Amino acid sequence: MALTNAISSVSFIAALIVLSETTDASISLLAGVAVALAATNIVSGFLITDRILKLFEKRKPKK
Amino acid sequence: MTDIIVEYLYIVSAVLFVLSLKFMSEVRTSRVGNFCAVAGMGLAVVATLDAFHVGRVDLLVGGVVIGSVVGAPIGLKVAMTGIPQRTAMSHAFGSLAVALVGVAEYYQGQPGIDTFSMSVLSAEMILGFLTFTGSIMAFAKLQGIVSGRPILFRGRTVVSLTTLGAAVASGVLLVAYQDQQIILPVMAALALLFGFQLVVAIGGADMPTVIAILNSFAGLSAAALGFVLNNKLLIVAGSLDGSSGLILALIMSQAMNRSFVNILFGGVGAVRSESTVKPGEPGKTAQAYTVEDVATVLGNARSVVFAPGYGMAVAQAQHVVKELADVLEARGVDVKYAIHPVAGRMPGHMNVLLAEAQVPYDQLWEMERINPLFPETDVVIVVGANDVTNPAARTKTDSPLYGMPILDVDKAKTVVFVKRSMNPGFSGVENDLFYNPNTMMVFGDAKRVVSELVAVMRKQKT
Repeated sequence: MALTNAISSVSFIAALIVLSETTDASISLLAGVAVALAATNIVSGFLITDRILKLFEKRKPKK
Repeated sequence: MTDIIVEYLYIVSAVLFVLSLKFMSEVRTSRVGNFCAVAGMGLAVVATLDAFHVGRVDLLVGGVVIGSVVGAPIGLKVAMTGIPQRTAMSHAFGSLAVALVGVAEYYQGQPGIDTFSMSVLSAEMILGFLTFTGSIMAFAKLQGIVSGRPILFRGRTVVSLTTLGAAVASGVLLVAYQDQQIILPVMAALALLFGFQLVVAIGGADMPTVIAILNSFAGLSAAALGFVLNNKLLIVAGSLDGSSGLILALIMSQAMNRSFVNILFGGVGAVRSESTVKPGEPGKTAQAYTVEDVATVLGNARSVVFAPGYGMAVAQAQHVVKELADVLEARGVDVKYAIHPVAGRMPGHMNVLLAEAQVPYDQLWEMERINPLFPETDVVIVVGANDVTNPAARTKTDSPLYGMPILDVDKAKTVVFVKRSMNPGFSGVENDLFYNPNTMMVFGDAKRVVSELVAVMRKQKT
């Protein structure tokens, strides 16, 4: 689920598109906040997925 | 770059997302899966940046920097036991992002948005905002900031359904009267309120299911946004997320023998535990044993199965359980772990917790695989689980647990329960297994009991 979280952060792209469409300052700000929120999810989502998977992988050589 | 190329790149990254989930389903290839997803995301971002010219580079860069600064420590530092909380938090972030993009899109496009797009946009904002507060509540409950007990009051279903109804009604109004900008904050406030009401009434043990549902909501709202922005990648990725969350939620509610509606509006834990529980019923006595007694039994065992549950996760006893397993293995005992589908606080969470405690993956046995082996098992040690072992689920047609798939630990030669008290599990149903002649009850905190057991076993002569 940590991974689907990261994938669902494609809302990052939505935020980018809105950011490109507008010139209005407050609308841009809204989109900017969305960019930050989505970026947080992307970064933490992928990092944590990787950590979880490493836990499972470490034991493999034993078998 | 032309539009057509961007579309192709989006398709490629959508395919990468699907592949990543496919690779994820197998331990062997799962890291490839994560890599695919990263690649897909990277490709999508590059394609978007190239096709749409972002004027406010400062906001873009600023957002990414803030996101990385906040996200990296979360991703690197969160303890494995804290994963459910982090997941709840990321649902909150993700859904808020989607909701805010929706709001921005509305202010940008109104009053010229076509009816279809505006309807989807309304739905998307409601879903996004309610998922936001719902996830915040889920986080607070998992983190222990708010009590995990369901908070219920008479007529709450009516109140929350009215709130939802009002939110939807204002969404409809917004579609009809796009230029009335005041409707939007009202709708947002109602949706936020409903999300809060929805999760506040749900008990701690149902949180895994709720998280899966919230995951699904977050995905659906992203997909809806894709329709509004006419962006295929958003639709595909959002639907992937939405459907995977929904399937998980369905699997889990099935594993707990509860319907979806029952979990969302039932508040079972609070109601039943008052009526049906009669601990210490006359005529039935549970045998309390000491750690030394258990150590003696374990000393003669050839095969031991651990059945870890929610309680072990709460007591953070997974490391001492692994220690005990090591002691047993050193004596040539065959050790396995029985994993019920809803063990832990999130689907798959028990596997992660045990993996963190260095339990080899091939010792984790899922319910279907381990159940036929119980009759040949000498000792089952149940750590912090209860309902998922209750034989009433097989035999008593009038039990609320009837029909729920359980771990057949009662078929083992000896069952050791490590439990804090005789209290029933989340379902509020008493577990007859406690009174079985071959059941040994050991009362106390899981971590303390198991570490004492390790100490005694180490002193024992082999």
